Amino acid sequence: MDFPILSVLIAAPLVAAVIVGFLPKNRPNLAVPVGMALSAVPVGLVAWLFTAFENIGPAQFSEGKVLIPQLGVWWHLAVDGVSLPLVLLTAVLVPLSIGISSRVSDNPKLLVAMILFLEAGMFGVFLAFNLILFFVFFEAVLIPMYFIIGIWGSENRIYAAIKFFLFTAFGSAFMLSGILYLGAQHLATTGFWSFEYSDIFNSVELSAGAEAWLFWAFALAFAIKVPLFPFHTWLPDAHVQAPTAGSVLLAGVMLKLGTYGLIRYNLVLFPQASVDYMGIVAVLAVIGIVYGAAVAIVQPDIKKLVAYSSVSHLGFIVLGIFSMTRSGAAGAVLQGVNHGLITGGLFMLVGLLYERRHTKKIADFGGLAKPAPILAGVFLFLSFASVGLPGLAGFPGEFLILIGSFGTLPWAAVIGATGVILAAVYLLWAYQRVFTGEPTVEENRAVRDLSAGEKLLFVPLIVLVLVLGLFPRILLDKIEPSTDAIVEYVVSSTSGVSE
Amino acid sequence: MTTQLFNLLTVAPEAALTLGAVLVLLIGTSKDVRPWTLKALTAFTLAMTAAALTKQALVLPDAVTSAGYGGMVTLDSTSILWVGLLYVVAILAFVMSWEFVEDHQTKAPEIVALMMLATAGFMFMVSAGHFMMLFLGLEVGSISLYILTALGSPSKDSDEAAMKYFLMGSMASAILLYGIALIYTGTGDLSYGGVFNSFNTALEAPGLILSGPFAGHATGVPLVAVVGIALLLVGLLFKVTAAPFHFWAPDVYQGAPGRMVGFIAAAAKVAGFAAILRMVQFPLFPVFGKVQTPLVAVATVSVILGTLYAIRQDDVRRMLAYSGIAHAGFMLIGVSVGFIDVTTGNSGFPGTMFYLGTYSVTLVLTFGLLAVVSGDGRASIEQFRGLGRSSPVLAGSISIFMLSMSGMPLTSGFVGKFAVFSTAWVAGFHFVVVISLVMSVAAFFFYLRLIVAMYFEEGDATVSMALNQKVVVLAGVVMTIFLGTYPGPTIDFIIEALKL
Repeated sequence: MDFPILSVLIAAPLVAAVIVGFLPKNRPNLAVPVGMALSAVPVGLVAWLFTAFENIGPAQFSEGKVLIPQLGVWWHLAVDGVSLPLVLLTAVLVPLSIGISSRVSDNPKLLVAMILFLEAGMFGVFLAFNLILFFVFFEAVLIPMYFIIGIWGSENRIYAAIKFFLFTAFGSAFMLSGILYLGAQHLATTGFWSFEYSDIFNSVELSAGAEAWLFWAFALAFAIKVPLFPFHTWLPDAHVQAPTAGSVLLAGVMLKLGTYGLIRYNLVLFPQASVDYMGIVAVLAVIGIVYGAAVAIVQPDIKKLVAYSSVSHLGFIVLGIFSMTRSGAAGAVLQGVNHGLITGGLFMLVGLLYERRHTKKIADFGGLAKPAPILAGVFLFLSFASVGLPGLAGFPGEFLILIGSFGTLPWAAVIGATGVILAAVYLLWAYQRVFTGEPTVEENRAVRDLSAGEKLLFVPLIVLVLVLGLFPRILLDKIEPSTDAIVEYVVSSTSGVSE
Repeated sequence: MTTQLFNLLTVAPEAALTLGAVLVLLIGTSKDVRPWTLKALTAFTLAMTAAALTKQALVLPDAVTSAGYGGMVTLDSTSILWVGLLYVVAILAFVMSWEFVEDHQTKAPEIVALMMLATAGFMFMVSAGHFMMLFLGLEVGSISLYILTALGSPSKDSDEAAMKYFLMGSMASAILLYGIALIYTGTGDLSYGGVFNSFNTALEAPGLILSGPFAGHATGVPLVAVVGIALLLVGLLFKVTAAPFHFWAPDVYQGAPGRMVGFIAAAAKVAGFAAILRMVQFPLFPVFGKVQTPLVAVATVSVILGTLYAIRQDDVRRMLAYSGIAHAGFMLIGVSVGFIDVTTGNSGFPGTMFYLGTYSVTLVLTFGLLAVVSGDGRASIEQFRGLGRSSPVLAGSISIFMLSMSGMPLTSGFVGKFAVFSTAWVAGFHFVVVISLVMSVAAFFFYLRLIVAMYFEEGDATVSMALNQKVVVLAGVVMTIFLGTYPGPTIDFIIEALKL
């Protein structure tokens, strides 16, 4: 092992957070530019990682050091095709979410530091290959997000922050008991504790009953995080109350911690249970798709609308994962990235609208395309991408998921496909009410268009949405070897799935 | 084991503290003494105690276990850990509550002497090799704590708390003493070694009862000794605020002078748990199977009751008292795993000791920080509003300690809980572990309340901390995070000391 790139990747935002923390007190305006500049370091590291990554299934760049030898806890990081795209997404979204916070006047230093802490934690979740290390990062990301919502959120922020924290921590408690069970099983079979992913994968034999319980213990934690219907109720509160940066990272990355966990842990460690319960999970996913979309249609609040659209889109991703097909799994990972870019962008736009008009009610807007044509254009572009217009990033992922799930869960694919239509309804209808026509209220005539700096923030998003829409192979080549291996393992080690 | 009639080294730290207390009382009470004299005397005493501890630690590898004063006091690698932990708690308490000492000009020497005597008493208690010594140490420590609780007088809260603590504490001591008497009746011995041997013989080579209704049955461990063990444990469980013996704790924590309560709470908890662990490790080891189930029950009740009551509290010290009941429950889960399971080698001790060490240090520092904000009076949550802005060091430290108590990953609190739960899981207490995990989540609700008040709510509270307080608090924060991220060597160290 030469250069510990993954440890450096986690350390870089932490160091950056400390640097931001030590910026002079009397220059609060420095925090955002310095934070953006420092968060370019992880982008560079990930770009290097991306080029050096070999298109093979097993995890690469593995590095490890024992932390608690008595209990088999290791600092073990590695990256594979499932995690690399999400690491990339995290690295891209963090500088943007810092940039969009430039108008935060209340202690911007702390906000930027919190975002950087969050980045380190999210990298850790995606890169950890030790179950305890994973759990530690999975829990640790709650703290910065809790502060981001609680300090910089809107009027009902305290309620939302606590609800967010308690919901997720509750799920994690069951996952931790599942992790303990796995470690203890390893102790029983081999005579020593280990929470190493590979050790547990190789040495732990589970009875059918235990596997079912463990599957649900892990699935509950991830389902709350995703959030899967009916565990989604924290999400609208958290999203609506969170500041823009919080919403971007929450929707963009943190929800994917759940889908990532479902692939990495539920599918691989509990294949038989995953196959046994794929129908139940798919039903919940489909309910989420349709329910999220239906609720989004009737939302009077534009931020809530985007939040519920996330429930709908994440339903697709879960459906893809539990279709147990190669294209479904690959599509799910790809769609995770796409949704992060698109919804992150939409939340940024909603945040800018709120800055200009101090309202999130759709009814208060109207005819904004006249005074702010570029803002409207970007919104329309991202809406089309979100709906899944071919050529834009939303299309390939959703298409792969629908193809994949049609093979094993045709009914789910058919019902889920209506989500695409409903997405067109809620997003385009929202666009129509907010941007088209004549400005109805006097304030709407005076809405500023995007400033040069704000335009710059959207450039990388638009470029990536186009590139991933036109050339999804760039990512799929890296994703597929890993997801194919996972799906093949699940299908071959169980009975009952026909592709 | 070497047993000597006089072995000053075995009692060196206690002797240093006691001598220091005597000196403080002799010199400090004179009216001509300048304020710094007391400080110098205290520092000198603590330095001497540290030197004594170091000497013990250096000698230890040669004399694996040594017993002084006819086996009354033992010095081994475990006892030195406990004595050391009590020393750390005491030194932190002195730093955090020195202003309290200086505010009570005429009483200052008494306060210092009482803190030293309490520490010395508890040190005797945890290094005892004989049940009488255990009781004497416990009483010396407890009586000092009763008086420290009353120092807020003439405040109604303080008087009430001290009275309650004294009455209930004396009752608990009486129960403990009765238990010791019954153990003596059942075994004919009061030294740890003698009791251990007696239990071992009774279990390994049971005789037959010769006459009476049970004639022909194996004698086993006499019932009277079993009752004695139960009463002994009740007395000790009272000290560690385990439910249902916890009723004094909320009133005492709330009513005692705010700047003193950290010491009162942490010293009693460390001493009580150290004594329980020592009982389980040594004299009661052969009969541990008999107390395991009751201990698990007490642990579960403590976790549930402590957490649920803590949620309802508006006074921060009262809330921490209930959370302390829950923590006692978590640690008792580790205790009830036992010293060692002979077949699997599973031991609950390293996790419990790690937990106790980190928790007690956190507790002293947290109470110290709370007192910086609210002084000696009641500490309502409202007093903390807005501190996140005005005092970032204080608010940040309180937050990290709260997160550590709640068991958040990356803090030492998580490692302690994780170590305890993992051994409990292997011991088969699956249900208890799941309940505890769920309660840990519920506990976030009240640990986060303080963070909410400090960071999320508007307020104009401002406070200032002394430099030496800042230093120890920041050292505590660094340790909390260091032990939360890299606990391996520390756990190894504990395992080595336990000779597992």
